[in-house]
Amino acid sequence: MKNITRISILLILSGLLMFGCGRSEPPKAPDEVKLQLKWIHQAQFAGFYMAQEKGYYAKENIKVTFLEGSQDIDIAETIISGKVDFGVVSPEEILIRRGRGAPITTLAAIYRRSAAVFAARADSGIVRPSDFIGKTIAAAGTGGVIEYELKLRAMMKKLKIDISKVKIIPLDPTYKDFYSGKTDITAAYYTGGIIRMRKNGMKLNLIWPGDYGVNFYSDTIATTDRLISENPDLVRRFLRATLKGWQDAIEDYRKAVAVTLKYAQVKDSETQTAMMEAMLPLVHTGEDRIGWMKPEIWHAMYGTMLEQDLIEKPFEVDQAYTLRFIKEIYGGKIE
Amino acid sequence: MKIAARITILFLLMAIVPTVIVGYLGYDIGKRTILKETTDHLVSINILKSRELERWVNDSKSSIEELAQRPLVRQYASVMAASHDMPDPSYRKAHKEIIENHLKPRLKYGVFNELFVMCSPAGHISASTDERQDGKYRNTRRYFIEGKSRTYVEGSYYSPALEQPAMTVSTPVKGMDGNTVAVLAGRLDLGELSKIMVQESGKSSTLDTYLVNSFNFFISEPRFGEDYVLKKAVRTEGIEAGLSGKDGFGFYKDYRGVPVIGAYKWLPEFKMCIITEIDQAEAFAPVKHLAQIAAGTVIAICIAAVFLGMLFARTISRPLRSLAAGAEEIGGGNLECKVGTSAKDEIGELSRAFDRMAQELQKTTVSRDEFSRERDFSDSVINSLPGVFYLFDENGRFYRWNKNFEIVTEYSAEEISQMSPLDIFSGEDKQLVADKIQEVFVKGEESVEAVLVTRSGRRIFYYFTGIRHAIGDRKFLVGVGIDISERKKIEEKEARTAQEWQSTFDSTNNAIWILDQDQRVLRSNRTAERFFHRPCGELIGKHCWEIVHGTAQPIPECPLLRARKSLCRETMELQVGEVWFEVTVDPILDAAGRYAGAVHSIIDITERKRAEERLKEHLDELRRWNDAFAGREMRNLELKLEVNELLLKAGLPARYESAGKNRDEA
Repeated sequence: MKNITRISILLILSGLLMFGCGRSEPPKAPDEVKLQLKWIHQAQFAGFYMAQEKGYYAKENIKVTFLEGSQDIDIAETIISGKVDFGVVSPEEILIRRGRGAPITTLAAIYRRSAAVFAARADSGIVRPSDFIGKTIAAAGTGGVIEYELKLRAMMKKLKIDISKVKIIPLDPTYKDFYSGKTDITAAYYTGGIIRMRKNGMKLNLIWPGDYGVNFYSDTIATTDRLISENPDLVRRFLRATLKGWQDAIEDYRKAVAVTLKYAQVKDSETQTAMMEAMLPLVHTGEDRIGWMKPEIWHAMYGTMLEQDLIEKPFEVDQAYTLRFIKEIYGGKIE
Repeated sequence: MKIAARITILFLLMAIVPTVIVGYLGYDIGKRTILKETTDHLVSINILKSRELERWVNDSKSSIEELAQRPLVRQYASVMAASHDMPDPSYRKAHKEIIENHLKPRLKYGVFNELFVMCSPAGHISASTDERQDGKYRNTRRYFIEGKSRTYVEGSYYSPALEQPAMTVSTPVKGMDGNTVAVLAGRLDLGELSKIMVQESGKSSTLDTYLVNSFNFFISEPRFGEDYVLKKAVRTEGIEAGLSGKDGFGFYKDYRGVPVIGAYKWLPEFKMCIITEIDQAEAFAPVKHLAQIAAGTVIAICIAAVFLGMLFARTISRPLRSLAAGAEEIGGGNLECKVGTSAKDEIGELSRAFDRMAQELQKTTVSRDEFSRERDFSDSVINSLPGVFYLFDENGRFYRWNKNFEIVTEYSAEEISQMSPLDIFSGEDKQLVADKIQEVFVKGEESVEAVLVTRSGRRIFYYFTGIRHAIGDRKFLVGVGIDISERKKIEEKEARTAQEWQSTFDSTNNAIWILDQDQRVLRSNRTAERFFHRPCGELIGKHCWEIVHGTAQPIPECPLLRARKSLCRETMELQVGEVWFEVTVDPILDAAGRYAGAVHSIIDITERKRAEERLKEHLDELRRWNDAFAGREMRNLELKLEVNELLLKAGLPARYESAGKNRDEA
């Protein structure tokens, strides 16, 4: 009788165990992620919106909150401090912070050509940096606009042009003085200011720093070293969904504009479309896959900034970025 | 379905089946041919366009190589590479000479939008047909890096400087010492590329050829797109197949979402694929037209077949209708109707045969009528029979029966037609009747009394007869049944009466015989057995005198002899020893009143005789006593009367009331 009881108990326990094993695990709560954008909601970040709207983040079990940027927000600092998990930040900021020992690393370069450009009136005769001599250039600033002056100085130095012969004034985001002619040259984003100026009927000569040996990435996706080491899976999933969103945005930019308008403060389809069209060649250069980075570009950027004394303490530049995740995502295929 | 309709349908089928088959085969072959021609055409366009592209690029490469190999170009490039200083007169001269005398003249041929020289190692543009490009660095561009060692074509890319898609061919410029001193590059006019792709589309309104790079972006403008180059990516089955390195064709939806037939070809040297598509609607238009022609032909042939079929059917159906009308006439009784024609075909023969048949019918109609009348008569006879009538075969299937049969059995005609004769019997009768039926079919005739059980369960005694009747090889049983219920009741009553009579007959103390005319014992009761100490069997058939008197003839006193004459009861007392018998004979007369036999009764009267003797003796004694007492009583009476008379005379009341007042009252 005792044996029968034991066998019965064992059978029941086995059944319960098997039942327990057979049951699927309850769905895991999505990882909540904060993404700090570089600026206000606009087509500049269309790929993120596409990833959100097409459910790529959800498929990766990630719930993303987009945080708009502004002149008052130190994006790199929000990432380093852990207030946000990821951020859209310029490579210059990365290199500067890294030079200060901050544990921030770039995961992918969305804008693989810098959108920063110098514009002069088409009838001004200013077509190359050598024409900047004796001219007033609106390019100075701090925070997010530091890259303009940085690139200007790097470009002039590369061309061995005496920067002191150029009058650098603070950048006016409204371009009022540029419109009026008080400023000869202004720095602007090809995907922002240039569009607005052209929309206002201005004919422009564009001087690209990249044409003169100053090749910088622009918007990059960065996170902390800690997150990479502690939760690489989250980093991988977030980046995979993001790059997929960007791929969709590039392949169907009209759809991307439509999605952007859901988020954008400026719900002007024409402006957002123009921005999207302008950034297409910067994101998709015809080389490599979206987000891909080249070490030589990082080294060139680092060298340029080192020359500009913007790096407080020299460091191994390869620490500022990692190809680990994009290689995993693309399976090693770069073309 | 009428024969005309049948013939018409037959004609239609005979026409439609082969026509449809041939039409379908023709359509299918035509469709395959057109499709093959279309796909071959698309594939050949791809080949031609890719060759044209190759030729265009090769021409560009040859052109730029020719420029780069010019001694003066090499010389000027060497000067610029050595100096890098604009204010240097030799640099300025070389810059001017190379642009004005070599680069700009080449632009006139329209292959290049811009030609420029990049001097090593910085890759900055030392001389360009577009002055705005002077001084720009191209050391990171692939066309510069690759162009230092070989002629290189950089596929379509977006040039921020030009703010438009570009394609650049570059080639090294060797110095006099054979070392590369510069790279000569030319930007190809992508508009020309698009022209190559769209030209020679022929009369087609949808034929479209375009190039797509490995990132799925348009490299040339498609026919139905504008500003698509490097701005719009497209993923279709054809493009995916092309980009996966395959050459072929397929049916799919294009970048507009329109179903197309598309041919794709991977161009490895350019890392792009060329796509040529045509809308399926246009490609299949000849197929559709072919289908319409085939369908139209089938319909036309069908209409013709129907028309011919109807015509032909009429030549057959008309005489047939005439025959049918004649048949109707004949059927209606008009056997004089003639439908025969002189036609020599089968229908003519049929019509004549019809007439002959009508004649024969005319002859046979009389016998048919007679038969009909006879049948009516037999029906009347059968139905008028008092009993039931039936006719069934060896299988027990009823063929005929009369109304009485239905009434008596309470089954309907339809039910009877499905029944077996044995179904109206039950119990032992069923087997009995079955045996009798069998015997009828064997012996030829039989009868049986059995109880007929009706549908409601009523039981009726019937007497059934059966006679075998053969028609050809088939045998039938025909017979009648008569209700014998009343007879049975009477018989039962008689049997009971006979039983009662027999009991009475046997229970009497008289020995009774029924004698025939010759005085032979016909019947004898049990008392006779006891009287004569013989069983009944021995008495029957013997003459009465043999039994009673043991003589060979009747005794002279025999009351039978007297009764024969008197025809009345005659008796005789007969003493045998101490025993006295009284013999009584009652004659039995026939209907004519003639003597037919007698009832012979013998009674043992010994006791009676003795009683009579004793009675006689008592009477004699009584008489004597009477004589003695009568005188005395009479005397007393007379005395009483005399007293009463005397008293009356004396005026006194009578003393003896019982003797009366006078002699009369006494």
